[in-house]
Amino acid sequence: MKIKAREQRIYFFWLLPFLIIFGVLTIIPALLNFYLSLTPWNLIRPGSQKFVGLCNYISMASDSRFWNSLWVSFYYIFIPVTIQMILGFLWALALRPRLKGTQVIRTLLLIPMVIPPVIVGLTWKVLFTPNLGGINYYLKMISIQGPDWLNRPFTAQIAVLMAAVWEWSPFVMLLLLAAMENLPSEAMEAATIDGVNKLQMVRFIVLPLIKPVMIIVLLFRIMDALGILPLVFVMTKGGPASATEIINFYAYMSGFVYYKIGYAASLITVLFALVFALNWYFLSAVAKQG
Amino acid sequence: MNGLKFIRGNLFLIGIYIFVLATLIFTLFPVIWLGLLSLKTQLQAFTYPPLFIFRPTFKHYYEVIIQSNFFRYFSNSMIVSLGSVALSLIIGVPAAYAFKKCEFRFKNHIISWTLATRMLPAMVYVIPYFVSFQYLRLIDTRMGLIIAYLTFNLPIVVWTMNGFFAQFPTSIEEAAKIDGASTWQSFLYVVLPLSTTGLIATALIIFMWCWNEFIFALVLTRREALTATIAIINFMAYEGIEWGKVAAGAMIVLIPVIFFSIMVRKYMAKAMFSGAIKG
Repeated sequence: MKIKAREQRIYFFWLLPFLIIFGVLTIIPALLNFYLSLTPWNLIRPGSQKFVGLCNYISMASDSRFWNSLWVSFYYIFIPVTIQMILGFLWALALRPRLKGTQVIRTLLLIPMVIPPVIVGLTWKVLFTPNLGGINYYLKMISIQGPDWLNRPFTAQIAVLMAAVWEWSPFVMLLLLAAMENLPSEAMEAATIDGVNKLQMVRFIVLPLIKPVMIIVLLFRIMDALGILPLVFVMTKGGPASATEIINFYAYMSGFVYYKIGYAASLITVLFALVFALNWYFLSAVAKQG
Repeated sequence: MNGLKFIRGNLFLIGIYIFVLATLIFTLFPVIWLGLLSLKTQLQAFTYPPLFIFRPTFKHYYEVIIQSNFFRYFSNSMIVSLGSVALSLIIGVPAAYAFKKCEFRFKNHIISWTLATRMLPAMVYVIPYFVSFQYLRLIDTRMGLIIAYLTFNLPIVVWTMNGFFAQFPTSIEEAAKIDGASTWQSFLYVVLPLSTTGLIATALIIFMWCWNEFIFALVLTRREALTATIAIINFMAYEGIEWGKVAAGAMIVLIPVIFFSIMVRKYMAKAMFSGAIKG
């Protein structure tokens, strides 16, 4: 009993550096960020760190650019994630057979996910730039005059959407494949004997069995959907006319381009609340499902 | 009768093949196109119709590696990533093991807190880090980036290694203890050597995360500690983007990650489930 207690103490000391360092790295920034959001601090005007209460939040309410960034954020949380889920599921189904070829293809399909997001943005910027022989050349082959993608609000939104789908569909595929490989083979065999066709197999056996994993994957994707910040930065810089300005990009612009650190901190507090609320909502939905 | 069935069965297969082929083109063409761009002169890049077969030039690679400071940025990326990987393993691996062994109040709360912080957008940390790093004179230093990356690497290490240790058979540790090994010895000489695969996979995954990282590197560095990914963006900032040069820089940054990702492919799904998402 005594030895056990001593051992516990030793392990606690192994834990201590992690707890201290990680605590300092996460709790202090969160508090500091909240404090900054209550000041009108501007990097160009030193001495403007005085406390002003909720002023930033009040001016946010009448900031149309903030409301726009909120809408754009929702657009980029829900639309790309939906497409990623569908594409990733279809890819996983097609590559499920364990053949030599499929193994190589699976590895190749992971490339978009593992390369630096900056390069994902760069790649799609190249493809969407007219005259560089990208997408517009192939559109012309089927006699469509391609637009100047990145310089029009609507098409710029689609361009960023494409890049986001390209980058993260492999993630969905990877996790769903892992789930499909762990499916009980008895259910499939029994179904085959009963003369179930392939479509029915997917609809009534595969889909219900991997549903729990799909929900987790969906959750991960939603939580990380605003991680497309580097794509926006490289491809459109939030433009044209703020059409692709997600809320974390707006916070970046406020803080490090306009130097309004206080206002940026309050935007981030809102972002934090948004992500937290979304996570909470989905996690409790999952918990209810069991 | 049989023939018709045969054709129908094959049509289904052909459909799948076409779908897989389309998927492959969709995924690989953009990267291949970037690679080709890095080998073209500025004139060739803009020719219509686009060139697929041409005499490649390695001019851009020469310019990027020899004439610009790119080598320094590349080594900055290397030092920052390796440094952060080493530090997070040293702090995180014993902690992951202790989490398995230790029983105390709030243990589960602390574990959830670890995961919850990992799920927040990186932007949440950037402003407070920028402000406090300015105060601590850590802006534009490699040390600053190494510390900042700990925020994201530590949870990954604790989560993935915790998973590996959970599968570790307790009987082996008990055998070591009976042979008179101290907790430290049994960890160092018995548990760790048997978890090498997990350690290497974890190390490679967080290495890739550091290598790819964007927003911290953008905000917390200026000139001295600039990383390779940010240097590529700076190539684009000048008037009239030199596409060939940008593409050549990108290809150089790509090679290590693609190589590493092939090595850890098998462990990637597991690590992803434990929250190792880039963000």
